[in-house]
Amino acid sequence: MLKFQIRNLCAVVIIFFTGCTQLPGPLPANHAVTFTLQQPLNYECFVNHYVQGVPNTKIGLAIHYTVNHISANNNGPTYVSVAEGTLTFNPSTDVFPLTFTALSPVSGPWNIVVIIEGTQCAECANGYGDQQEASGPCVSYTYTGNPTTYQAAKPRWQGGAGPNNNATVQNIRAPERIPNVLNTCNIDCRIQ
Amino acid sequence: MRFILTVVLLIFACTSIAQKGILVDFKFGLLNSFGTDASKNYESEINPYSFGYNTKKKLKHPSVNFMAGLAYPFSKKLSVGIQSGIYLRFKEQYYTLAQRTSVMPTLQVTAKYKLFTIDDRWLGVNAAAGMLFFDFTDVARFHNSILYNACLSYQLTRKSSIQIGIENEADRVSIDLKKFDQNLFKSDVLKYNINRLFFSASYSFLISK
Repeated sequence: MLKFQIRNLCAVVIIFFTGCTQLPGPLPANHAVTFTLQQPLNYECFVNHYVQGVPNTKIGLAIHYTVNHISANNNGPTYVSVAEGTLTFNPSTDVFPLTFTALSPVSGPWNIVVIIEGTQCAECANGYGDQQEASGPCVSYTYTGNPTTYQAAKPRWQGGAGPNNNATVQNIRAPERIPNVLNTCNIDCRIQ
Repeated sequence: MRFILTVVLLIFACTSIAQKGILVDFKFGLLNSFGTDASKNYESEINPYSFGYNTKKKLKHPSVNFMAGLAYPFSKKLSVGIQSGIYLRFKEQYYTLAQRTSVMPTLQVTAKYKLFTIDDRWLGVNAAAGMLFFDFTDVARFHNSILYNACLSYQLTRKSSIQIGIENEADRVSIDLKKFDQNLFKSDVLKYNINRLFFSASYSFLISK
């Protein structure tokens, strides 16, 4: 009798739980988070080259950020933007690390993507690897190395953070240039 | 599914092989997660990225388990064996806010030691260690868990007892940051464990002599 009952119990369990189910959850609430953005990599190397001659001022920056809530299933992540903004960085008055506040989900996962664009041209930028760096009215400046030719452009950096917690202070590491772009800083800047 | 079928076959086998010398029991348990959540930060070396992840996280809802065990009594006080069954988790959130109901087969090594008797009923300690088997992706991949259980056991009747104790589970998690955030430059797989603590209470009954 006991054996029979146990087998019935097992059968019920198997029928009702033949796998896993995943139901969507509600979007979490948002709260204000303070971000600390570190200086973009080699930023001091990117000097203004709007004019001919020896440039001597660091370029200005436009800092675009997007905060996303992330939901996902087995097909991959889905991003829902909860906050976006653009900050301007004036090298004569602003300093890194730069702090700013943005709304962010109170629980993870979520991320913040930071794209930094130079507002002025610099010869350290490379307009060939990252096509978006080639745009802009940069004056003619070309350094021909072997075998690559570099030209002045508006540089771009990318960084971010992927917190999975509700901390109200988050650090964003030093954004880097898009990879596959040769870092020309150590060449162009050195030959001024 | 093959794990579940294996467990069911094992349970059927237990009902058949209960014989003198081998202790066969069934157990029904409740687990309630407790403790504070904790997180760490990972600084990717190949991406300009800070990634926060949980090292401790409690489940939101109580869970239950059903297990069958075989034990060999080395003495009147000590017995050692194995137990297997399933854990049921209801509407849990693992990484995202998606709610997941899961059946997780388990296989554990067990030891039971009878300390002393109170009014002809023994009081003992039980220990178990083993694996929870599961594999699903919720941004991160959750792939099996190592668990430990320690509890006090008290005899209720000649064939039944209750156990109350603590269980710790360490979920193995891996996440490719490139899949988490497609803006990143390169794949960077982070592997870590999420520890979960539980109060456990269970009722077991012997089906062997």
